[in-house]
Parts: sequence; C-alpha cells; structure tokens
Amino acid sequence: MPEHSTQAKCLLAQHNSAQQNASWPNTILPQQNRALFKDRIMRHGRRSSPSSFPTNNGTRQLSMIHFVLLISRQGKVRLTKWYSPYSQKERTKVLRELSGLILTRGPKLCNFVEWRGFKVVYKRYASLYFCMCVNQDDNELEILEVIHLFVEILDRYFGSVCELDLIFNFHKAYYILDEILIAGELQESSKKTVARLVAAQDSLVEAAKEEASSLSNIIAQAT
Amino acid sequence: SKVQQIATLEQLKTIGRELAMGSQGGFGQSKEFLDLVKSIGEARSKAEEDRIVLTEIETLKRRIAEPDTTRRKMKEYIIRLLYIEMLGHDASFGYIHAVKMTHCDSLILKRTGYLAVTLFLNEDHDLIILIVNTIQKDLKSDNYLVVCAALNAVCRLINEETIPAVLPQVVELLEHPKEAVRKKAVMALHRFYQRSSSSVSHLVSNFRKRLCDSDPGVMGATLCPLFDLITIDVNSYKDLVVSFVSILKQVAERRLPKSYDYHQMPAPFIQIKLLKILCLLGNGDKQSSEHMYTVVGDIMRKCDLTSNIGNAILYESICCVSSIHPNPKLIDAAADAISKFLKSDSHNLKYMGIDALGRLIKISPETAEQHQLAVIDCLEDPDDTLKRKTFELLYKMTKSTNVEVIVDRMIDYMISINDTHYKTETASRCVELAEQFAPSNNWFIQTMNKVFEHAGDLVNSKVAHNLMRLIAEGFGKDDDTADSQLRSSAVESYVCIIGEPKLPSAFLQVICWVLGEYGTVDGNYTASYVTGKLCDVAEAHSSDDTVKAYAVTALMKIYAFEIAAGRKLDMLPECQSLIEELSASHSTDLQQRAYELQAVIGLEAQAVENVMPVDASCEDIEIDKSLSFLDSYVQESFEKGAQPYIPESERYGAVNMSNFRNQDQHDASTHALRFEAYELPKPTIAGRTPTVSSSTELVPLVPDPQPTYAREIYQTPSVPSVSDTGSSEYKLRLDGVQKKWGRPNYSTPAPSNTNSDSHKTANGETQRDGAGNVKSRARDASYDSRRSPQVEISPEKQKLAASLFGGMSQSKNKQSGGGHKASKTTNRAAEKTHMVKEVTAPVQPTQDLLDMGEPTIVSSVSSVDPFKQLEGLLDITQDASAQSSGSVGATNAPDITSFYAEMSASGPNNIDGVDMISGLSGVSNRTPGGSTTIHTPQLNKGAIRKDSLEKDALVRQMGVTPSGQNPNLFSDLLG
Repeated sequence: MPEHSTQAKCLLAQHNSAQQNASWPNTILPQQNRALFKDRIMRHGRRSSPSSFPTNNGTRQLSMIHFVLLISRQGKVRLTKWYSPYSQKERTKVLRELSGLILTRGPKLCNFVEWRGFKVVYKRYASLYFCMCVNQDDNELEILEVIHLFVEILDRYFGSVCELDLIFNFHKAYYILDEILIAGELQESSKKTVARLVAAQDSLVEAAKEEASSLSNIIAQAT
Repeated sequence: SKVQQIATLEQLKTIGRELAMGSQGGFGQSKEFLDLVKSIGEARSKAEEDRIVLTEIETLKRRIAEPDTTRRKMKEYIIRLLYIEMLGHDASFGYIHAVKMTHCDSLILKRTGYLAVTLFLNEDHDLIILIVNTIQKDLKSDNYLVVCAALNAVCRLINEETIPAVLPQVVELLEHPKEAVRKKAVMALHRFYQRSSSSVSHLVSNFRKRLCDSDPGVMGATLCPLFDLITIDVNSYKDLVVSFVSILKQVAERRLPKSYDYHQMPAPFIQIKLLKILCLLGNGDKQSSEHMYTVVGDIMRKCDLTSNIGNAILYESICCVSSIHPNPKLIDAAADAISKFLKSDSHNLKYMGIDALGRLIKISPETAEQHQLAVIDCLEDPDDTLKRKTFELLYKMTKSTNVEVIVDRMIDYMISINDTHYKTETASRCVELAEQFAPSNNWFIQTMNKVFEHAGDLVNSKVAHNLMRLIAEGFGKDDDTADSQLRSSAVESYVCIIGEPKLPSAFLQVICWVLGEYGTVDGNYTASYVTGKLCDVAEAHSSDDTVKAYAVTALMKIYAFEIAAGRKLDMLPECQSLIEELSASHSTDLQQRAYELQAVIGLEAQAVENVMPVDASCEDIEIDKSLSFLDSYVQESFEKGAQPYIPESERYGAVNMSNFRNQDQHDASTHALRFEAYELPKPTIAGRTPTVSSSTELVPLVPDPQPTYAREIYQTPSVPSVSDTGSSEYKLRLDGVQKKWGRPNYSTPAPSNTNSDSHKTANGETQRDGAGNVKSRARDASYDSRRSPQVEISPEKQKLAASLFGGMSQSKNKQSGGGHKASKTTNRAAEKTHMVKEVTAPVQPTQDLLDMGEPTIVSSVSSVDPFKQLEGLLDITQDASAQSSGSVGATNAPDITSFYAEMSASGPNNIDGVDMISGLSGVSNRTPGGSTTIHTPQLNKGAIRKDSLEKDALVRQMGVTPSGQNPNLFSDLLG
C-alpha cells in the first residue's frame, strides 16, 4: 500500500506541474503583435442582433456538447467541430463572439463563460484555446477534463503536441476527436482505447501507402 | 538557472534544426498546402486572409474539375477544402467530390471522404441521399475500421427520413464482436432516438442489454442514451436503480481496467454519468434514494480534492445529494464540500461552489447562512462569470425579507451590462421577484419603472401585459384600498417619468394604458393635465404607431370618464389637432381609433357609460361565438331564397385539396424514397424488413382511430389516417407520463417527523443522533468564533450580509434538527430492509453478471445481487417484445466474468505508474504492420525533445518562422 501512495503522489505532481505550465503564458507577445491583437478584437467586437440566432431558452437540448473550437491566441481558428446544426453564417458569428469573449479574459478568472444561455468551457494550452459549448446544467469541471483528456491524447499521438502539429495535421486531430466524442457525447474515456483505435486506422493507412509505393515500383521496373 | 536552461535549450533547438534540414517530408502534406497554411498564418489582417483564401478557392475549383485528377491528389484537395471551410469560407462547390470519395474502396480515401462529409454537411443536406447507399454497404463490411468510419458518419448525417435505411444494420452491429463497433452502434442508436424517438422506440430495450456489455467502454457509452431515456421517463427505469448503484460501487472500488483511470481516479467520467442518472432516479423517490446513500457517501469521501477531476465528481455528488430524497449525513457532507469549494482560491471552484450551494439550499436553506461572506465576495468579484452565477444564487434564495437588497443589486448589474441576452434574463428575473415578494406598492412601482426604463425593449411583451394586469387587479388580496393606492402611486410616478426622453416603447405603452385607465380616477390630476401629457407622448413618438395607438385609446377613455361623470368636456387644442392628424393617418388602426374617439365623445352620458365603463378592464366580456343575434337576419335571407353557408372544408374543391395534402403527408411519413436495393430479395433482408415496419405495426394496438378525423376526409379512412393518429397517440402518452413526475418540495419534512417519534426509543442509534446534533451545533459555534476575529471585513459587507441572509436564521435551525432525526431513522429502516432482502436473495457469486473485478474476491456482501435482477428484467423485456435475439441474460454470465478475469490477469504490468505508456507501446507492438506513425512516448523526455526539434527544423525548412506572428507555435501544449 505505501508503494501505491508514493507513486500516486509522483504522478500527481507531474500532472500538477503540467497544468501549471499549461495555464502559464509561455512567451510574452511582442508589443506590435499585441497592438494587432487588440485591433482585431475591436474589429471583431460583438455587434449582435439577437434575432434568428440559436439561444438557449431553457428547453432541453439534445447533445451534451454543442461544438468544439480551437482558437489561437491571435483569434485564428485551428479546429471547429459542430455537433448541433449551425449555418455557415452562424458559425462565423459564434467564432467572432466567442473569441471576443474568451481571448480577452484574464488568466486567473473562471474557465467558464456564460453565452447566450449556454456555457462555454475553455482552457488555454500554450497559445491555443480549447473551447467546448455545453448546456446550462452540465458539469463544467467535467468538460474541463474532457478537454484535458483530448489534449493528453493529442500529446501522446503527436509526441508533445504543439500548435503547429494541429495546424498542419488538423484532419488527424479530427480523427482523434471523433474517437473521443460522437454526436456531442463522450463515447470513450480510456486514453488507451482511443490510442489503440487511432493507431489501428493509421497502420492500415500506412499499409495501403506501402502497397501503393511498391506497386508503382513494380510498374516502374516493368516499363 | 531556469533561464539558462531555456537558453541552452534554444541553442540545442537551432543546432537540431540545422542538422535536420536535410531530412525529407513534412507533416505528410504537399508543398502547396503548407504554403497556403503558411501564408494564412502570416496574413496581417482579415482582409488579407480573405484574399488568400479566395485565390485558393479559385485554384481548387479549377483543379478539382480537371478530368485526370488522381485520387491521391483529390484527397489533398478535399483536405484543403476542409481547411478553407474551417476558416469560414464557402466550399460547397467541392462537397460532391467529398461524397464521391466515400465511395472509394481504399480505407484512407474513404476515411477522408467520411471526415469531409461529416464536417461539410448538416443532416438536412440534399447530398446525404447519395451517401446512404455507401453507408449501407460499409456497415456490412468485414473490416471493422470501415464499419467504424461509416458509424461515425451515421451519427452525424442520418436524419429522420433516412433512419429506416440503416436502422436494421445498426441494430445488428450492437452484437458485433469488436467493442469499438458496438460502442458506436449504441451511440448511433442513441442519435436516432434523439432525432425521432418514435422510429426506434421499439428498440430501447437494447440499451438495457448493452448496459451489461462485457466491455466497460460500451457500458460507459450506453449510459448516454439511458440518461436521456430516464430524463424523459423516470418511472420505467426504477428497476435499474440497484444495478446502477452496484455498477457505480464497483467503478469507485477500482474494479474497471486500469486504462480507465484518469488522474488517479477510477473511471471518473463513468462515475459522473452514473451520478447524473442516480440524480434523476432518486428525485422524489425515497425508496430508490435509500439504495444510493452509501455509495454516494463513499464517493464523496474518496474524492481527491487536489485534482480537478476529483472536484468534478464531488460536485456531481453534491448535485445528486440535493436532488435525491434528503439524507442529513449526506447533506452535511455536501455542505462541507461546498465550503471547501468556496474557500478555495480557484475561481473555478468558487463558481462550482456557488452553483452547488444554489442546488443545496433547495433542501437545506440554512446552508446559505454559513457562507454569506463568501457569497458576497463572489458578488463583488471582477470576474463576470462568477458574478452572474452569484446573482443566480441570490435569485434562488430571495424571500420577502431580502428582496429589496437583491433586486436593487440585480438592477444595478443589469444597467451595467451590455449583453442583451443576460440583460433580458436579469430584467425578467427582477420582474418575477418584484411581483412575488414586493414589500410595498411604492417599491414595486419604482422597481418596475427602473427595469422598464433600462430594459423595456428587451423584456418579453408578456411582462408588460403582466404589469398592466397587476396594476388593474391588484395583488390578489381583497383589499380595495391597497389596490387603489397601488394605482395612485403608479399614476403619480408615471406622470413624473413620462416626459423623460428615450423611454422604451413597451414602457410607454404601459404608461399610456395606466394613465388612460386610472389617470383621473383618484382626482389628483385633472383630465386636461393628463390628456396634455398623453398628447405630448404621441407627438414625441410620432414614428411609433403602437405607442400612438395606446395614447389615443387612453385619451378616449379619459374623455369618456369625464362625460360619464357629467363634467363639461373641454378638449385641449393640441389634442384636437392630434385627433385630426390621426384620422388621416396611413395606419388604418390609428384612423379607426381616432374616428372611434370622435364618435364616443359625441354621445350622451348614458351611452358613454355603457360603452366605456370606469375601471372595467378586469371584467370579462362575453363573446357570442355562434353570432346568435344574426339568426333573424339569416332566417330572413333564407326566406328570400339565399343559399345556406357551406363550411370551407365541405366545399367540393376543398375536399380534393385536403385529400391531396393528406396523401402527401402520408408519403412523407413513410419515407418517399426506397433505400433497399432492387436486387433479388436475399433471405437476410427479407428477415429484416418486418423490424423496419414494426413502427407501423404498433398501430393496431391503438383501439379506435378518431372517428371524426376519418369523417373529415371524404375517402376511405384507411392507412394514412390510422398511422397518423397512431403516432400522435403514442406521443401523447409519453407526455402524460412525463408530467406526472413533478418536483416535490422538500423544505418541510413534516410527514417523516411523526415517523421519527415512533422510532425514537429504539436503541443506541438515538444517542448517536443526539451526539451528532450537538457536534454540528458545536461546529456552528466554532465557525462563528472563527469568523468573528476577522476584523478586516468591512462594515458595509457585513451590513449587506445581514440584509441578504439575516431573515432566515433562527427558525430554520430547529427545523433542521427535526429533519436530522427523521432521516436517520429512515436510513436505519432502509438497512433493515436490506437485511431482509439479503436473507431472501440467493447468494451466487459466480452468477454476478457485472462483477468487474477478479472473481475470487467475495463481493456478494453487498445486499442484493443486482445482476440477478438485471438478468430477470432482460428476460422480461425479451418476452414482451417477442424478439428472440438469443437469451442474452442466460449466456452472458460466464462470458463476462471470464472476460474480466482475463483483463485483470493481463493487468499486472499496469500496476506501475506509467501504465498508459507501457500499455501504449504494447499495443503498437501488437498491431499488425507496426504502426510507425505513432510516436511512442518514451520515458525519458529527451526523445520527445528530439522529436519536436525535428518538427521544428521541418517547419523552418518550409519557411514558417515562429518569430514572426506567433512565437508560441512550437511550444508544447502540455508544457
């Protein structure tokens, strides 16, 4: 038993430090960029007309998570996944409103924002904001951990993941997300199971690639 | 030293970059795509970004249309399309190519195709019809990865219309040997249920079956649909309480495989879902709640408060405790947990604490008192989210003693915010509280004035109507003087406020109505004074026809009252010109009102009194719906040879129309498109078709289709009408069931009190009881003493606290004491019943269906064997639905236990702290083909560093410089 407790402590420490690092701004933005950043937000300021936009007025919502957004600190979109129906126009509006809301928040405040009767849970990792929109009565801390679960799985997959990985391999991030969430619900909470399934898919892709290249080799040799 | 370290690291990075320059490849993407991403990354403005994307769209349009595009290239184009759509641009020109890609045989392309269509298309898109066939084919594939990809698409794309096309296959996949497939099939069925509950209502028993799946992942996924089903109809799932409790117990006792652990907590996400389910099942149900007390208490004790996930579980437990039948021990534990949350430095935890407090005070109002200062701190916190949550809490704990303070604060906050949504919400809350708890008429009117002044255009028009009705009817007490006082103070304040500029339209309407109705009633203001004010309003708001209409009608009322009272009418010149102006208005409504006014003032006093009686707004007007006063006229016309009136629905042309429409409806409901192939009917398909149409088979169960409905359509009342009534009948039934389960009120545990008296003399239990009470009282005292030395609390805050919480202190404590005893004895009674059950239930450890631990551990100490019951229930449902899909209940038992035994047998290497990593590497070794893409995380961080260095170098090579726009691009997300 004592053995167990020490090891628990050790891992915990690791986790804690990881969290601390994550919420700590890694580098300070250069002055010019900061100006640009401010400028952006101003232009993207919320000029909303409440009509014809899905707001939550207390009716029971179908899925738990309505959408997942990854936004960089500059307000650039890195990944969007919509589980509830939104038109392209609404999506742009949501992104504009939420980046205005979230990116301006200070580091020590809550990781939750109330927005149009929904709640948006967000967490910053390095320069990326991971946001999930949920219903009024959902457990925010749980969603925060769903985000963390996603990031941990991304980290395992890419090998210390950074924003650039997600920029260039956003489709892979989608594949991983599809194994964690489906139709806005958490379908799998075991990191191992998700990793195993994604690896299985990738290995098939690899096999297909090798096959293709060997085929082209054969053709090349024959001709 | 840390700075130095970072510096050396930077140096190393540059060296690594130089070294790796020569290596090939780069994220597996083409140069073009990388260039695109790079240029967008470096775009300095949104306009520049848009320009780049537009050129890219042009390029892609051209390339995609080229006839000799290889599939490989096409895959990349589609990923580029995804990218531009993600940036908010329209890529619809390429959707059809994504659809085509799903038809490919190769899994890579298929996967890309499915990913693209799920991201591109909403479930009502026209192109979906082209994918259904592919999905059908893929669901039958031998390769489970293809099936998984198809199921992902099913969850996103299949709509009500296309459900029947894939439903039989999805149901079949619930029994698939691969757990990943079963899990996704469960989620797909859940999605179908959400889309159209009637089309899968005969299949919900499958969810119960999957609850005892051998794979914990599938079991966890099944909790999602079950949660939904239970939300809708609690009553049908009460039998599962024991099973859920037992599963939760086993999860909390770490009986699930180690891979479900997350930050040292055993399967926390499953625990949370189970707690949510228990929360529903135990609500207002003492008997069910008693099963839960032990396990919920255990979980609350075991929570790791240093980790976020531990707090998440704790919060969910508090929610559960405050929803199920109250248990004093648990309530105490919840109150302790809440105070930990509130005392925490983390804003997140404070927020959760406030939320949890809002839930707990429903059953234990005295809890709020302990935390008054913490609550006030949160109210003054700069964090808007926290502030809002605190206002929500205040809203929940408002009573007549503190309503003034709370509503004043809420109004101040409402004025300070810009967000329309929350402004509206706060405004309607203020109105609600003011209506409910107003201490005086004057205060009420003042408060409403403030609300309308600042948010009048945002509040629902119903609120304005409510206010008018309230002023007209009074507060419901039979106190005429109070009512007239209310009206007088309203009139007085409105006369003062009416001249202010920029009043919202809704507020002006209220003002006009009230002035018209009561402006001159109490004699404080003369008719000419009030009419003068009303004319001013109409002139100042000449563009608002509604306000003008209200003003004119108000004028008419005042003149009418004057005439009826026998006073001489002298109309102000501005009123005269206003009426003249309005009788030539473009708005016919205004015209009519103006003419009516002129007509009314021309009448004699007697007639006017009948037309416009004083203060008659609350009197009912009887409407002669059959227009019987016209009977004689109609009779006369008949005698002159007029044709009788034929209702529209009975006229010849209309009959055809309605028939046509009806047929249409029918076609739509039984999906116009055929999704089955037209080939030879294979035996499997033939066997399946009955299940598809079984939703219509439900119909004969409805005894009599409404005869009136059948008569209305002049046709054989055959299939369409019957199926229609059938479905509506079904829905109706569900509604009825749901409504039965209202929320009972717990704040007065009176009936159980008597119960406790009878048990009081039992044994040592009562003594412990007393001790507990004393202890809690002592703790309260110590809390007080701890609080008092904190001198830095400003007197203002203390005053606020007193005004917010002061009213509830004394009387409640006694009540809670009584509650304590009551539930404690009931608890003991529950234990007794447990004992009885234990004796009667046959103890069969090997039959333990869901036992998730090693079978050697004697777990049957727990009172009842839930799985035995589960087994029984499964059999019942099978009998009922007459679906002989194998006797699952019987065969499952040995199967699952052996499975979990196997799990735990292969477990030992998981015991070390880095179980995930070793597990992962194990997996990658085992998978055929050796997954080279997975960067197996190694124990020493150095390898990962190397990894990121290589990555770094690559992008440098690509020309993306991190020093420009975003220096953080390379920083590891997890630090």
